[in-house]
Amino acid sequence: MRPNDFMEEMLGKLRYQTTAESRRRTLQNITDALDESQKTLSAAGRPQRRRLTLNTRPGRLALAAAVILIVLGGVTFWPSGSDPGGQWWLGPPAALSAEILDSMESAIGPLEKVSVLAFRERVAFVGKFGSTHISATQRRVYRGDGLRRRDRYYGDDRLDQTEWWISEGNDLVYTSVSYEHQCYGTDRHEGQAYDQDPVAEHITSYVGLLDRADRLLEMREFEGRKCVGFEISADAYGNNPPEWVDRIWFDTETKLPVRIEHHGWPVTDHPEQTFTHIQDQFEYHAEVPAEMFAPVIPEGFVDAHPDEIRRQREKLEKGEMAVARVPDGVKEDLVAALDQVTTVAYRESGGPRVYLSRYAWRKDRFDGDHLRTTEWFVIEKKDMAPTSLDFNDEAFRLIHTVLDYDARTYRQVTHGRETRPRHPMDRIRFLVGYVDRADEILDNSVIDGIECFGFKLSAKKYGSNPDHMLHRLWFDVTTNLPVRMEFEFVSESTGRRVLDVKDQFAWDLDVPADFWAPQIPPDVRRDEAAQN
Amino acid sequence: MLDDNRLLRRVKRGDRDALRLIYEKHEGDLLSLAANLLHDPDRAEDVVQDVFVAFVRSAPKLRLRRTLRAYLATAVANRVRDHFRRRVRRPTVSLEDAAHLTADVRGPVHMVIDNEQMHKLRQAVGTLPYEQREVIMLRVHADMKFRDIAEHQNVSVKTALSRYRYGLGKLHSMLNGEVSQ
Repeated sequence: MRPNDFMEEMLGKLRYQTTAESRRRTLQNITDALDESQKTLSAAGRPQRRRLTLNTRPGRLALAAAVILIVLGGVTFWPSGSDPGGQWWLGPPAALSAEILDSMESAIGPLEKVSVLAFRERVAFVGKFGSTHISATQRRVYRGDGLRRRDRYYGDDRLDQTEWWISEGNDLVYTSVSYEHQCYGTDRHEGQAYDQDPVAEHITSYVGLLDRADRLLEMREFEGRKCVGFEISADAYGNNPPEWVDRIWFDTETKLPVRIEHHGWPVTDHPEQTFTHIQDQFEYHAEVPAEMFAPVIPEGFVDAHPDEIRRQREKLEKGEMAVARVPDGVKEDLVAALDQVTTVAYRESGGPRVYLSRYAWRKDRFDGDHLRTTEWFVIEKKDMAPTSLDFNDEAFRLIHTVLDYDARTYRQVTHGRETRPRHPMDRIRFLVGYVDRADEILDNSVIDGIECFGFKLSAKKYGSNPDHMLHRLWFDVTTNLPVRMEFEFVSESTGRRVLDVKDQFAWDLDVPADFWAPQIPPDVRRDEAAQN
Repeated sequence: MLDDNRLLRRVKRGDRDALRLIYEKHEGDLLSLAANLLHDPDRAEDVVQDVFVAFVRSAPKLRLRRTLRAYLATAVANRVRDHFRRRVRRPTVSLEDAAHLTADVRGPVHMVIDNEQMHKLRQAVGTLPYEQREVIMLRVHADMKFRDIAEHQNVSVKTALSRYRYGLGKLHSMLNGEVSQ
């Protein structure tokens, strides 16, 4: 017998079985699923009939209209059929991934021969109520078969960390060097070698997801290339929560992936926000020297975690930090309470009244009872991912309108992603996210007739904030919602202590639908000098 | 025995007996396939159940291009890939903890021939690069054609064949003398 025949025979004997009880249970579960699916099927008679109408002339016209809509706006399905006018992305989804892979192989050669794939990674933190911020760091990733290197840059060019993952036999060896903290660390993960995830697999796995895409997105331009995007719920390809959404953008000409976005991923210890992960600037066959994948630990660097070095450094600079014993789950309860509300109003430092909703907010300023100005901030949420405001996108627009009732003028400024004002609810949620690291739990007190529990947080614990910055937050013992939020600091210009207060909170407001859109009376003229 | 196409037509009409026949016919091969791909017998049982549940849900619209066996085997392989992808993407426990959790816990799934020779073979299979392991197992435990395996892996038939040969060759050299004819 030839060696391979013998090996095939042996492998054929490498069989597994389970117990009769386990088989019975599985069979019960799948027959239950069959019954369930039959029920669903019988309830779904109507769509069958609707599909039949597409064979009529009005039906075909309706289908043509749907195709136009898809191209213009992004609809939750796309038609199967032949490629109309070179628009390959309108073809049957099941065939797209194979077609794209073929195209990629024509453009860059066999995927298995891609020796190094390089790309950029960025992260944006997203508040559930509104937009937040893009991380100041970006990472350049280099992937080869069985190895990976990731360089983290602060801004565009300050390299502050390099990590290597190198397969050694069955094991994965991780090395990290922090240039900022002059330290390094190594770790060996037994049996976790990258054999199961070679570069070609990495590429095909994403492209293969197109077979399960839910939505075709509007055309966008990235890196100077016209791109078409597909949206895929992460639960379509694994046991992931439905709020995780992936978007993949392809060059319409070369069909090469240009940008991959993952939306809605959770942030460890921060339930008040999610993050969006973006990969772009893909380079296939990146030309990098082989030594890039050999870890280099600079002389004099110590074996320690950067967080530990940072803690020691801060302890020296800032002294011992006070930490209260905040019970587990308190922060999560506070965040969950905020998750439930749709609109908010509060008073700001005894003056303006601020109103917040997810995609718009407004600020009314009074002189006594007399309304002097109203500011509206309206976010254009054109084709945004359901889990974020997608503010990182070129398409992000925030329209800021200020109406001066006394001067009878208004002005309007459009902000892009660089200059946008931060959604005030993000600030509230951000502070609540730090409650578990409070300095002190304050005594319960009654504020505006509401029994409250509170926390004191010093900002000096974080980054380069000065000693005198303090937050005091009070929450309703019944609803867990904020009642009063104080921010105390010393003004740099006057040297005086300042106290900003948010209070008189109201939740889930009963306001008319047009409350959030600018209302300009007919006799008010536009202040042209103030436009952008 | 009723052929799979006839059974599938009956399943489409909600026939539980037909589903039972399909399950009994293919469960053993699929479980072996999943266990060998995952290198984790207990998770294999979940994978097989998930595949059958997905199969009954999609049965009303299902049109087989290949055999039902190949369809189910490909579904198992896809699930296993999803499993590895999820593990790479977002580990919910540390790698050390995961190793601890999967070690020394004996579940209901076990090897049919439980001897030292088979254990050595199992260990050797676990060290193969995943793509090679997948080709071999789809061929051996699902009797899939190389053309279909190549399509599943999005590679040429030549590549699938060479993965198969390399994989077998590697197993042979790893086990040289330890698994005898």
